[in-house]
Amino acid sequence: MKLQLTKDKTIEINFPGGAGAGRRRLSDVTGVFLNSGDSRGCPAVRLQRRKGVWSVAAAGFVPPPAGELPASWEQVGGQPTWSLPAEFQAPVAALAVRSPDMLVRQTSPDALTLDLAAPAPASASGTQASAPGRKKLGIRRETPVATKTAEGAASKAAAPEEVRPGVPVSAQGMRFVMAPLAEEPFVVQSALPEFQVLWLSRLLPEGRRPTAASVQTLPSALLAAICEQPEFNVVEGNALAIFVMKTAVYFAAYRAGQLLMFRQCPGAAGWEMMREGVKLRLGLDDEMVDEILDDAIVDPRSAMEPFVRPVLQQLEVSLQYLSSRLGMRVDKVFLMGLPSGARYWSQMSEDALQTPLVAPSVFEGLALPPKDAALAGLTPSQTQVFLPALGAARAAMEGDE
Amino acid sequence: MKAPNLHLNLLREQEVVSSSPVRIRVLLPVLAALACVAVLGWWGMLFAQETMVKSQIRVIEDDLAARKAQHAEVQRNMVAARDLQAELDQLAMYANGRRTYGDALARLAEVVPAKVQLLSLEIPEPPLQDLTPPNAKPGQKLPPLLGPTGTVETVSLRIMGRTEKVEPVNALMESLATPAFSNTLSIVKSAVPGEMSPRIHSFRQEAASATKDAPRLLAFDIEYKCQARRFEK
Repeated sequence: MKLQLTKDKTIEINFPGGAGAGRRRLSDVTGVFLNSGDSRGCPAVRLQRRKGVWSVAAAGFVPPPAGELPASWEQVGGQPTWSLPAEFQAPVAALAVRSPDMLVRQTSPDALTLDLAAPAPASASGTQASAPGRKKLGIRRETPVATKTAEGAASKAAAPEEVRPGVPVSAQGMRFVMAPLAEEPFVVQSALPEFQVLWLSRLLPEGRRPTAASVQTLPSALLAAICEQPEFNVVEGNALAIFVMKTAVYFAAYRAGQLLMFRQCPGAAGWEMMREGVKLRLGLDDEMVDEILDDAIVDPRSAMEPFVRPVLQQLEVSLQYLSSRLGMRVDKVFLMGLPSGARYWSQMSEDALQTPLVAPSVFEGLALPPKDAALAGLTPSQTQVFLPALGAARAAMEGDE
Repeated sequence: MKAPNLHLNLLREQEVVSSSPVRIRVLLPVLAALACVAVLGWWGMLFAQETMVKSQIRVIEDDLAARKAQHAEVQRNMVAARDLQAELDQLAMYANGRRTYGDALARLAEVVPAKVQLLSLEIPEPPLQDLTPPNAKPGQKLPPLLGPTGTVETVSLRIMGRTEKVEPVNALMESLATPAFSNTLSIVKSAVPGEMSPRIHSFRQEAASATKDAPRLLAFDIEYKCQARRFEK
């Protein structure tokens, strides 16, 4: 047993088996999607696991925190605290955040080392010693891995094995984390400015449920969201998923459940731009767009085509890459995150590639609370807004094992 | 299918805080309360032990007081028993010290010669024994002892009579020296006069008789030591 005095004069008890206040086996996590841009609030899902059964205890929108996600070190000083409604007060929370500064990409250690060795821009690295927010938070700058590599001999320091795993900070002031892909030697890298991670880590204060146990970028939070999908398990995890988000589209391929490929779709702007295009092309207002996109009365494919076509082209490229390069036959292609129009996406894909897209509810395969009839009555399209929150919670619980 | 590890967590382990940490402001009062409870418990145990010991002492004292009364009663009974036993012993000693002279006197009548006239047969009273308790102070009134202080009491038989000649007296003394009287009289031949038995106190001629023709008589006084009275059990 280990007693530890924390910064706010509390004592944390850690038991040898991992039980305790600081580290415990997560079975009840609230996933929250921060900075989603949704006017209803932050989508949140409380995910529980009891005896191997995954269930959703609550899902809904929670009021966002008082402050905005800081854009620089100077804005970190006004650190707000946040509390969630009672139904979302799980022991811990997994925060999925959408940030303009976030970076998620598939890369290789070689490329990563070159990035880390790049000189640090003064504005991003946080080298200003007198940054007020940093002083106020008492943040001590850690020696970044990239600085070490840059100082040493380039050949020695740039060796891939020198890159330490974990959550180091790059010379650009980005805190990053990597996970290996099923195809070696590639890794998926997720990064966020350090001041944003620190801001997020202090958002949910200690001693009040929930506290932050995980901070994930939006794309990385999506990756685990389809793991409990029955169709995903039917094909034994050999699938490709298209995550259509508000401003970006991501491709993720899985082999036997392990992430094999991750890439952001170039030239695709996300569903927000598509909605705007459809709205303008068909002369609709905001309330009618989703109805038209989910209805069969009017065929909006012509309006959608400029936005869907680049995605389908990249889908074709991805399928060919998986087939020819990796020898993987994709049995299912999931279309997730799209709030409306999935049916037309699937039809267009089938017409162009003879590959239908599966767009299930994000809660498919999960037990829903019997008292929450509204949650059970949501259409698959309406559930997509909870995809990042669910994925963040699912990843946090899976990653704790 | 192996569970995927897709958790790209940007939080460091030391940044993860607990929603239910043990706070000092909670821990200290709890520890203080526990210490107080422990001390109170300890005091309670001591108090209980003290109460128990006091109760045991009180029980023992009560028992001792009761046993003291019983002991005094036993002591009194023992004293009474001892007194009674002493009386019984005295009675037994008196019973053992009893001497009977009837048979000896009956046989004496048979062996008294015809020319001998016994005037008196006397067994003198022995001197009174001092029955004052030992260590008694002068003037202190204490009950006398129940029994004799000495265990042996000398008894003698004094025979006084008259005769005409010496021979009948000698015959009488010889008869008394026979074993028929040995149980009663003791014959001691000693050069010391006080220890002799029989001891002739006097053997003299009486004064002139009242009539002229009457023979002159000899009066004798002989003392025999009898078997001593032994006050023994």
